[in-house]
Amino acid sequence: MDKLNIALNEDKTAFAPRETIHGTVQWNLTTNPRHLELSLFWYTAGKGTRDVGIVQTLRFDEPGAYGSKDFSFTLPDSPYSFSGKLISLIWALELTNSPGSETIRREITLSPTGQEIVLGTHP
Amino acid sequence: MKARDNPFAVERVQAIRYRPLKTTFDEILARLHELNYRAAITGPEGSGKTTLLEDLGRAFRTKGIKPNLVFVNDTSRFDSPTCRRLLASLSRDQIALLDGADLIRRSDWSLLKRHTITHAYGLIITSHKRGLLPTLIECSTSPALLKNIVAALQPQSSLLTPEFLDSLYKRHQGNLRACLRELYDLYAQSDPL
Amino acid sequence: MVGMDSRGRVDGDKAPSVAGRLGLSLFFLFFFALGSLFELFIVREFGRAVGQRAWRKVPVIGVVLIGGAVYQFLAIFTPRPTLELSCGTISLGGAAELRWRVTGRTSRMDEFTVTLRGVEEAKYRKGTSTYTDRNTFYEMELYRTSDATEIASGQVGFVLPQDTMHSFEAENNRILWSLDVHGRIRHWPDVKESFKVTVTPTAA
Repeated sequence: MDKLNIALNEDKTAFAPRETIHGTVQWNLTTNPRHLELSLFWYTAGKGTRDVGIVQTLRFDEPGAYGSKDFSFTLPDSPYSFSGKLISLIWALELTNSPGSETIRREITLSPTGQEIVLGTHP
Repeated sequence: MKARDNPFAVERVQAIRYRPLKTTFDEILARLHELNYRAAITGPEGSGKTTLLEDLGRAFRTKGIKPNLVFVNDTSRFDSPTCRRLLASLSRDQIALLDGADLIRRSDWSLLKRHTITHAYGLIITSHKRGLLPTLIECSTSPALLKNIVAALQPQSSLLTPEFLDSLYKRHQGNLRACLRELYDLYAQSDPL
Repeated sequence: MVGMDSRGRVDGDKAPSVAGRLGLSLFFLFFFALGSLFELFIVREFGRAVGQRAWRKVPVIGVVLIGGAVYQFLAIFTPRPTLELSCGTISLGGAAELRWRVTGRTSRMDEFTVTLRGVEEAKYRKGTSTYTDRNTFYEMELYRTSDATEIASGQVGFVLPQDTMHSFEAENNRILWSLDVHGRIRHWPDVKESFKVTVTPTAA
């Protein structure tokens, strides 16, 4: 198994606003971390300097070198996942250990349509 | 093309670290040591000064020296209160990295220059002009460097011929940042979303 | 750009006020006068010594300055629009009604349009500069008229599309929606005003 893993129930990665994400984090490390942190956040990518918005963080203290734990997050109603010519906004879950440099990220979509909103260019 | 897929998106460009032309990063560090960690990185716009400053900051961190990085630009002014806050926060195990030293007021610069002699590990600045501190390196670019960077970002492209890149480089007078931003626009327009 | 208040009303006062425009006119005139004096007494003498090319640009700058002064002065008498939305914010897929009133000499306006526009705005800060880029991803003309009565006041209903992005503002990246008014006036500065609109996510 990879050292850190985020598994989403039914492998569901597309969520509607205010829906709850259910999943399990798993870890198998060589040393005992002080804690693990699972964050729900969005970030931007594209032509502008990156913005990041951390929505919620769950912390698991003294988790031991290996194990698993269920989690749930209730998503806000916005911002939607979207991609335009200049900006993409991407939602993700990220699990990290401390101390340590292991990290794993899982992208999700927050949108009323089930897919990221795509913006074009008006000529 | 979606912003996240654009090979010239900011995050991808910023992942390209400083590529010295006629020297190596280790030689730059060695020269910095000779200058007692008080030096200036000079060069025209878009020549990699900020990128090199950031890379030096990362290198210091691995050596246990804490970098204190301050950016001065058209939206982040370095006024007297900012100067005082920076000076108050500095300690002898910290190195001050100031991007845009030629934009700050002479009085604040004099104060910063004096204070960091005894209250900080060192002071490294970027400046468009020489003379504020001994020059560590004068950053410069070349058409080959542009091609090198473009190859790292977009290895296979029929759009980006060597002739096109030479013309792009010439049009922007060696400003690689401007070149890469134009390439972003080119790719943004090239495919429908 | 001017934002709408919670009742959805805003006046077209993003543009400089009358005092502001007078000030701008005087500002341009002052620098025109200064430039003219400079050209008259200094550059002509200096220009003879070093060549003609540089000082020939001064009259051009003078023309620009006097043009700017005239434009700002004329714009004082340009009609001013006021917009009122039926609600302070509109949700994606939601409907709204827009009313407008244009004060001033609207009879001189030969065309009036109101456009709903969605724009991506991305700021990039690197080195000592900040660069801002914009891309219009949505544009819908809500109203176009040449009728003087309709220009003076009117209303139009519209529905926002569902499958697009709501307003979003972060430090460097924004999605902005606006109602843009354009009134064309022959031989006179056009009316151009932009009114920020808050578009919220689809109503639950």
